[in-house]
Amino acid sequence: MSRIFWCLFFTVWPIIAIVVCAISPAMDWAFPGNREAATPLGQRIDDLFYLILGIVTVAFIGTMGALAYTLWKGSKNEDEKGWFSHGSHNLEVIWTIVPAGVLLFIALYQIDVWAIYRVREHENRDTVNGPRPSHLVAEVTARQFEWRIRYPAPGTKFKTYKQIKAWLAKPHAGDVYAVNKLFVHLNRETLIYLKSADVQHAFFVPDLRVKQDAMPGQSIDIWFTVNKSGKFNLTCAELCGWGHYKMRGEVEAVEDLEARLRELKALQDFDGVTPPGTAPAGAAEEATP
Amino acid sequence: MTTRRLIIPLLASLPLVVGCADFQAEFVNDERVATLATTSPDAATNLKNSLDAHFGTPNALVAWGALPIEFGEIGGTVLSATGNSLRVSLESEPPAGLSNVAVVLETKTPQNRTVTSYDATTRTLTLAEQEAAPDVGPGTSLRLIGHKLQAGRRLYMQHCMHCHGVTGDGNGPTARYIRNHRFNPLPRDYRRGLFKFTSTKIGFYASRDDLRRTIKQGLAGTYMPSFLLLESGQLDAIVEFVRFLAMRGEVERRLLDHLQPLMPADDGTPPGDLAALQKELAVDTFNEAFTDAASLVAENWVNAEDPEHLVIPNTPRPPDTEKSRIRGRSLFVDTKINCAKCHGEGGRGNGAFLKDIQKNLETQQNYPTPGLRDAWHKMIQPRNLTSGIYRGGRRPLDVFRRVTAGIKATPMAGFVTNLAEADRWHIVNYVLSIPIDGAFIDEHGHQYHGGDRSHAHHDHDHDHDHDKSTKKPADKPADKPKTTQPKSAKDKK
Repeated sequence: MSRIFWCLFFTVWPIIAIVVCAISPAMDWAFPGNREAATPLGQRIDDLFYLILGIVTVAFIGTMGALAYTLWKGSKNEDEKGWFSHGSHNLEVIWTIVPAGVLLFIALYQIDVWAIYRVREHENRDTVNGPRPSHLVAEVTARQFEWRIRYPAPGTKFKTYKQIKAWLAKPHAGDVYAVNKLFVHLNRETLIYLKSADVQHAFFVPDLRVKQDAMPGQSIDIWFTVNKSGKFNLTCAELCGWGHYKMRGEVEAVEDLEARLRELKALQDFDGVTPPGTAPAGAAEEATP
Repeated sequence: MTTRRLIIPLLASLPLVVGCADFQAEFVNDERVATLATTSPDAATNLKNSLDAHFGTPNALVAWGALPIEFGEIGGTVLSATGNSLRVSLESEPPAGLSNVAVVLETKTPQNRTVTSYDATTRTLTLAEQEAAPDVGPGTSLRLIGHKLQAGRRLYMQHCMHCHGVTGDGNGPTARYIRNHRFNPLPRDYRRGLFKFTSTKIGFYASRDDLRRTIKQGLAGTYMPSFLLLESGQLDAIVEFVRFLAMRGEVERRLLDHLQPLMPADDGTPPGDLAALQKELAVDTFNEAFTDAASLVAENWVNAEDPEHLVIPNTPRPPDTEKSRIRGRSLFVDTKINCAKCHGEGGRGNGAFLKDIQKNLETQQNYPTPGLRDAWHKMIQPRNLTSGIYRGGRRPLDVFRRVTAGIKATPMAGFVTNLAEADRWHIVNYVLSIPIDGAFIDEHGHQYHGGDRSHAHHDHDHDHDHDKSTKKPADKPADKPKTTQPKSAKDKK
């Protein structure tokens, strides 16, 4: 009785696991953003995940199949007594070398994505004297419990990283301030300098596959290109205090970012009497932080 | 043995289930009510009962018509009635999960009943059981009252309560983490009706727009975060509930002031003529005092909504020129309005007044330690104007309002009478330029003008008469430009 139970147990639960995995895309238990990242790099990161998923699926089905086969076969075998093994040198060498080879393959295969995600930009910075002209630069300061955002004056074009550094160092005339809602270019690269005003936070936009810790005292750069228009949730992914859950923000990719920044700037410059024709809509009740 | 092994974990996990039940929150009374109860328990009970009758409890709020609050009203007519179930047609769809709101049925003698639930598919209202309730005929018009305040309560409990407290006394469970923090004020105690950052004139309360702005944008530099992504209707509901709590708290405070003669002395002795006082204050004039307090509070909140009482400049902001900033700077250090006495010569919030002992305006006694206090007797710091953080907003209009009407409940005064509007604008231009171009004073206390420090003229205010090169006439005021050519204050990037 109990023999059959354990045979069934070790056969059925891997089958359930595989069925659940198979139906999960249909149940929307998959990656955020309708299973498709809103950045090209995010799509490549997804591809890596799928590759690993494929590898582990093969390994999982193989090992579980072998386990089930052994159990069922052994349970039927009433005549032979089980024998105890002190291990097999050859077997151990195989199951060390094969996974090591797989890991080495993954390590080499993902290098390019990692380089684009975190390294190459830094290299460019040393060799190329300046960022690409399409860069939107914004400073995002995480604090308990909100995201404070600063953009350079609309129309600002940074020619070198040195200029960006100078801009980051202090407030400048014409800066545009916002809170909890970050506008970025659609189809053009965005460069964000992430700071923290108090403790550790993490800038996490699941749809963009962007996640970076914000460290007090540091200014950490992250870059991404959003290629889907729309609004994406921004959350804090580092337990930062009792109000962690309040750090709800939004990233919106827009076609004409400069026009949007000009609108924000006009709201920010509102003096209460500008003639109605030139006053931006909603200026009376909207205020900027 | 086995049963015990099972039962103990089950019992242990029971609190988890209980914790999911609808939490029965309670409004906390002012601590003076407990003091009052030591001498006159009747008066204290009377006060508590009156508050409960007119404001209810958090789980059973009362929509008292005397308060200027949008409780959320939906009109409609009864189509047919069977017992306590009414088939109705409503003017607008009530929010999902409507329950425990008031309904006024315009029968011959209007009835006040409670709705326990509303079924949106069958359009049926279920009323709470009430004895000897008259029949409701078809065609009776009805008004559902209170859904907005309820929504506000629900959202407030989710987002605000843990700092501001169930009662709005600024004493929620997480308030303790903020207390004594160097850079953060305490969560606001609404019960005085005072809110710091308003668009209204001196002496007026905060308008709905002001509260909305604070919730939406947060107060930069404090623990009040931004709730920008809440929907507009949700923000409105929270604003109404905050106003409700503020009104409840202030009515309570005013009643306690009315009952003040009944309070025990510092050593706990009751007043001599307790019985007579009690009859007069807690019985004969109590209801009148309650109505008076409520109508005064209501009037204050209504007045705050009047567009007449908004601070709106008549002239636009003058161009942000070097000249304008220097004029602002000279006013900033002028002894007529004394900005620098609190904010410091360099705008760092370290002025000389911080070293003075201030007077407690309620008791007319000096505070034991030097420093500025707000209306809640908490130590506060003048804003460091070099930080570029503007709690009440960074629009020129916002800063203009701070200079004109001050910051309510703090020593930051409004200068509407002392300063011409143009001068207030010059101060705005100067203040907004400080984080960018500096306060025109260097680390040695030397004044300079314009953005570039290397052109600073190293002489103090008091010895400007001994100016050497390109001297201004000696009769010019000390704060006029003394440098050769003021450099452009525009940032040079």
